[in-house]
Amino acid sequence: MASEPHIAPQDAAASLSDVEVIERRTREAVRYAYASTFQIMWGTLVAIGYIAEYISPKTDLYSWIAVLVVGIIGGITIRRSRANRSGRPVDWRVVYGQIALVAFGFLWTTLLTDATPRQINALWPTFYMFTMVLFGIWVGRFFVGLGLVVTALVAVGYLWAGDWFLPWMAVVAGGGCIASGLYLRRIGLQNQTLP
Amino acid sequence: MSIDPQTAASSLSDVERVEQRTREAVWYFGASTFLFWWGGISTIGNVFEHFEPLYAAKAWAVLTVLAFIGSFVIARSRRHSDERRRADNRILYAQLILVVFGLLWTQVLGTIGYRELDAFWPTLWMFGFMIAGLWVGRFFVWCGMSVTLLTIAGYYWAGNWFEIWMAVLNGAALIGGGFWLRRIGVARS
Repeated sequence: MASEPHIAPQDAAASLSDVEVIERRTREAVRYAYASTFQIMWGTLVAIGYIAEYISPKTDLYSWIAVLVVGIIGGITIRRSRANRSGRPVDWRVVYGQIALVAFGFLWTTLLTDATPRQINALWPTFYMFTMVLFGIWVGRFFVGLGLVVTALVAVGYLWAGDWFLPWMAVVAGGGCIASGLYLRRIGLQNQTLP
Repeated sequence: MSIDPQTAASSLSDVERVEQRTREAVWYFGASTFLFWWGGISTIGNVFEHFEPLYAAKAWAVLTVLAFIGSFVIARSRRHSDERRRADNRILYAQLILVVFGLLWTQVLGTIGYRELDAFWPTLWMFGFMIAGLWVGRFFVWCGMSVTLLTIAGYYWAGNWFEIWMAVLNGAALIGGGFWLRRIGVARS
């Protein structure tokens, strides 16, 4: 009779640790693929918002409100259609997080301070990136890196881009989100759902 | 004994819900110590600012450093499993990120007065609470919303008592929240 293979406690612990790492990375990859569509959508909308403001600064309030409304409704629609396809309930947490973000942004750019248009244009994307970094600490480090890099580039543009600040923001904030969405699509696991 | 698919799905869903609540309860207990610490620091800072406004900026800088050292010590003093260490490290990273972004908004990108600063930092913390709470437990969402609304009320209507209002409100909310979390949470065995 063949003897059972012997596994040392250290080997067993190392194997379990490997399994845990693989499980965590798989979760991250599924989340990355899931997030890519939202990144591309928000990146496109934000780039349009900045270019619209650059071309027609007097109507910037309306164009930004339109960007926010289209973005939030678009996000809800994508989530609903994915939930219908997978048979799982819609996870509303990200939508609630976005609503909290918009409320916090309005509180600090319009209600409690007199921020200038340039400050408002710098503050909003960094609010968003701040949330992304916080989110990334729990769900995947890609978001941490993205949030920190875009924030640093926004600060650079705010201080030194002069009259080209809005096109700079369209490229940095909008282009950054689109590029990251395409990258997430490449490294993520498509058509999977988390248990 | 046979189990039909609906019953099996329902049972699995129940197990998932129990698992999620247990995680929340364990998380709550672990987070309570951080809340006591930050609540105490925040109360001291606000009371100090009320009586010694000229030294407020220096006092807040010292207290923030102290708060971080304390958080680090709390995280390090607990029994360590890998999972536990990761959870504690995430709280520390989140606190650090909050401070970095807060400084960016108040010192680089924004122009903000003293009264606004006193309202800004707690609402920023509470915003972080709300976002984290969506994933780790709804207590943090409610705590964040309540303190934010009360901070705005104090900003507009507390007059010269705003710092004291914030000391009581923000400090008491964090410390009271810590006690509440300890009551409803479960200590990790």
